[in-house]
Amino acid sequence: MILSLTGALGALAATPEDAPHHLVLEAQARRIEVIARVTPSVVCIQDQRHRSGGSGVLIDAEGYGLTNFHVVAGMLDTRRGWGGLSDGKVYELEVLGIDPTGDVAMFRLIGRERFIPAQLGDSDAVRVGDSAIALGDPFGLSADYTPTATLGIVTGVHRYQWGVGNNLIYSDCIQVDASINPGNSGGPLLNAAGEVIGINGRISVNTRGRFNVGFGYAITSNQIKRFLPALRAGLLAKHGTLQATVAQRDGLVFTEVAPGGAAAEAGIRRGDELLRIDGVTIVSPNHFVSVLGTYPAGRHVWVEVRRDGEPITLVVRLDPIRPKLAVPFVVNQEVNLRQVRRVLRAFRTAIELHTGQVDTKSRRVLVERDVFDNAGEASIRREHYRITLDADGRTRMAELHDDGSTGRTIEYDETSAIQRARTGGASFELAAEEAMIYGSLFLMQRWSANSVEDVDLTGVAHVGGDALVWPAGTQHAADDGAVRAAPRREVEIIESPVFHSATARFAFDVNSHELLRIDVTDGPSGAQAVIELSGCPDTDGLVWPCIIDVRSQGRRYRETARAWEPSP
Amino acid sequence: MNVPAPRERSSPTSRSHVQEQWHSPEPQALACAIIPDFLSCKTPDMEGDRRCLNRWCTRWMLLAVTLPALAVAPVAFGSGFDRAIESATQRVVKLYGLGAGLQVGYGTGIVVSEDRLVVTVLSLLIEARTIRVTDFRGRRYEAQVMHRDRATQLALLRLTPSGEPQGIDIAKHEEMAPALPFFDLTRNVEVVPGDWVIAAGNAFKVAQGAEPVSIAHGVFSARIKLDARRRVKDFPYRGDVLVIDAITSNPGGPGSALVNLDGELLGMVGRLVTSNLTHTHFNYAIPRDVLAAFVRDAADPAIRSALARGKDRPDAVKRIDLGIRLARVGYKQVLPFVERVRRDSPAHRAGVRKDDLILSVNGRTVTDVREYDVRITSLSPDEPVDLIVRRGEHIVAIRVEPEDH
Repeated sequence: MILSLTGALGALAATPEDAPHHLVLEAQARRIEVIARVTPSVVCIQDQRHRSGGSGVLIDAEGYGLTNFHVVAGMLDTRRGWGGLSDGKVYELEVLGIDPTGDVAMFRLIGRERFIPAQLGDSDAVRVGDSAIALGDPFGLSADYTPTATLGIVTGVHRYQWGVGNNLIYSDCIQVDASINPGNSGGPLLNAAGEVIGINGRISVNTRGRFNVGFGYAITSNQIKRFLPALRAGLLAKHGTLQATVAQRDGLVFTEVAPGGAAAEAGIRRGDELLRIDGVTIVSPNHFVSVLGTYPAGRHVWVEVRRDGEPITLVVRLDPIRPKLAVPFVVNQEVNLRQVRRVLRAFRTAIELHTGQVDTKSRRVLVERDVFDNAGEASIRREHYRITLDADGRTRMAELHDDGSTGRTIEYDETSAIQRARTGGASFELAAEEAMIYGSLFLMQRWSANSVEDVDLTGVAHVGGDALVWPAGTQHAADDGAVRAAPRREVEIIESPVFHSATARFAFDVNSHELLRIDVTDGPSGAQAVIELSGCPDTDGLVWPCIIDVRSQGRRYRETARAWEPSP
Repeated sequence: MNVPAPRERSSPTSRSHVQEQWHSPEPQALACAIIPDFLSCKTPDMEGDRRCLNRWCTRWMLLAVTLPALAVAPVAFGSGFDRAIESATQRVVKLYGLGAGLQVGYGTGIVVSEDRLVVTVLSLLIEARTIRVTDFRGRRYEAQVMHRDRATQLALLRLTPSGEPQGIDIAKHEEMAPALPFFDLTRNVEVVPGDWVIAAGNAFKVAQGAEPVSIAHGVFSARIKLDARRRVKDFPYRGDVLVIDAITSNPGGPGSALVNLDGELLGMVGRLVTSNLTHTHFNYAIPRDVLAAFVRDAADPAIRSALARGKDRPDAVKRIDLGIRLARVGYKQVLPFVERVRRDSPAHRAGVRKDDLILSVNGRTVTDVREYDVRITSLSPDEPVDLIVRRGEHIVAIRVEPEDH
């Protein structure tokens, strides 16, 4: 025994000549640094009675964090629990949005000015063989809430793991051989740089029992990013489905297309051969459900099929999958409005960045309006307007004639949002359709000019994320005939009543916080309008929104801001 | 969305009490073979405790030797596996065949020749009428069992491309199928304790079609003899095995390729072997040279025909065989009733009959089938066996004389 120990020590001391020892030590030092850096972001999650349930990871300084749905499923009645951090303290935990289908949930820790967040990485860049570190609280080992670290390699990507009905489906997930055990659920999977590439939540088990056998699965960060707006807003996030099935024949063939479902509506037929979804070549039925499973409901995806030898590209707006819950999920209005305020605050900051030194409280802008022909392609008339935003919150829009005289004026006031429309001295009735468009733009002006705390948010709600695919023309086919992933902006949507009976959906870019588009619908009349907003290319987008493109009831006009100045 | 696809048993990793509701209960552990003492030397009734301890120490020493090697081996941990992963995942195939209960109907095989010969382990899987095979490109084949070998528990398959419509000239079709990369077994590959290894295979059938198979990484620990025979259910293979610290003994894992960092084949993950004392699984591989000898023998007509006649290899260990088959019902422990007695077998000659209930073997009571198995496999094949059976209302003592060879 002693002999063998000595032998072992001798072996330990010996280093082969060709061994690049320092590289190993450097790699180890980097690993230690990464674990130390992310450790303060890892949460040990407990339910209200302090029974440990899983792990989580903070992703912003305000205490928002990610975990698994199955970790917080038992807390849904009170939406309260506890989160222990590596500082040894336990913080109050509030459950926000949930995604039962994708087994993700968002929570917020309360009780500190600033938390230390981890960074979400790009999970599409993950390759099999990459090293990966799992942090979490397996078996409730940690008494002081310092996470346990386990090291492994990525052993598979784009994996699909069936769920229970519509819940807990692991689509396009990362497979890892780092030890993942009960209690690791909800904890982060890190790449070598310490970025969160996934949320560990599932293991394969064999006959021995429910613990690590080298097969752990993590929900990818890129999937989660698509659901973040809904999760932050405290909503029940829903995944998308094509309502169609494929089977492996000579290639992948659509075998069932549900009538009235998303695929059928988009024109996909039984017998079509599936080639690509969003530019990704689909190789198996597993891959098909895997790729689709990462998208939220309502999202537009490009589906490329082959029919009679001809490739066809169709845009499908995904139908929702309904997760199964024991008790219906009721949205907490307070949580929802908190996210509305976050979005509007970011929007205003973005506007201020764009408009530079201009005082946003009061300003005046001259706009050209090009009215298009019925086809919506050529400008047939040009009109001029002056829009004035006063410091007192009043907004006026006046039509300017070529001879310098003023035509129609439309005025909004801040509190009641009632328009006064005049031409010359006489009032006139503004068409409901026009009123809702101006009303939406007025709301936008108000949001951009006032701090969120001063804005009345009655009836306003965050309705989650979505992805806008720009209209036809922006898609482009590559040489091989493949349609590349269309230009797409991840947006989050805020819904607000506009005037009497209309509802406007404001789509904000998740990253730049710009307002990209407003969809207004008037319930009773069925009138619809789409307003697209953008910066001017020649001013580098500095004046924003510079171009406002309005389409409504087959008509189209475009307004371009020509001069933007503080109002006198 | 509801594409029919293989369902996988997997589980959330939360410790939340709530989750128990939907987490399916685990079936009883079952393995096709059991080793007695591979991790537990502390059985009080074990003979030769000291020897066992010595073996333990040897193992620990081997592990200790691996540690420094571990520290200096793969320079760029995390990216140094690329070659191994590519080599291994392209040279294994996914097998689908017969499954029953916990004998899963999927597995892994290793391509070992240009003409699509595949080595895998003996299992229920390959007893299917058609064995379906998928290669790394997602191309599908059917496999025929060319050769089985009890001693090494290996099987050799040949793949034929499948899935094409009728009316196609098979020879032409074969020609059209793209060549499969394969492991060349003719060369020798050195492996020393501490070397990094990658195992690649169809464990848990996570991957489907052209999806790359799962991998596991670990370190080669030792080359030892697998001694899995004594006192318990017999596992015929008695040769060397490569011990690794990656978890490879998972459903579908047997047949996985074990490669070094250069992607060279070191061995093949063997059949599941479990300690019936500790319920731990043994992670090991059948060494490359054993695989090479098996493939070579399979190509030798003389050896093959001898094996085809049901004879064991000359060097195979002799096993006791009384010719008794007991009634087995599922996985439950049932009374050892004789279901069948093989004609002209030792038991038949001694007068054992169908429906006899075996009460004891060599004076030791057996209460169920498993206990009978344990008793009988621990006996020498050359000595008589005393059975006491209950036949109707009578208790009968029977001495079964061994078969003359």
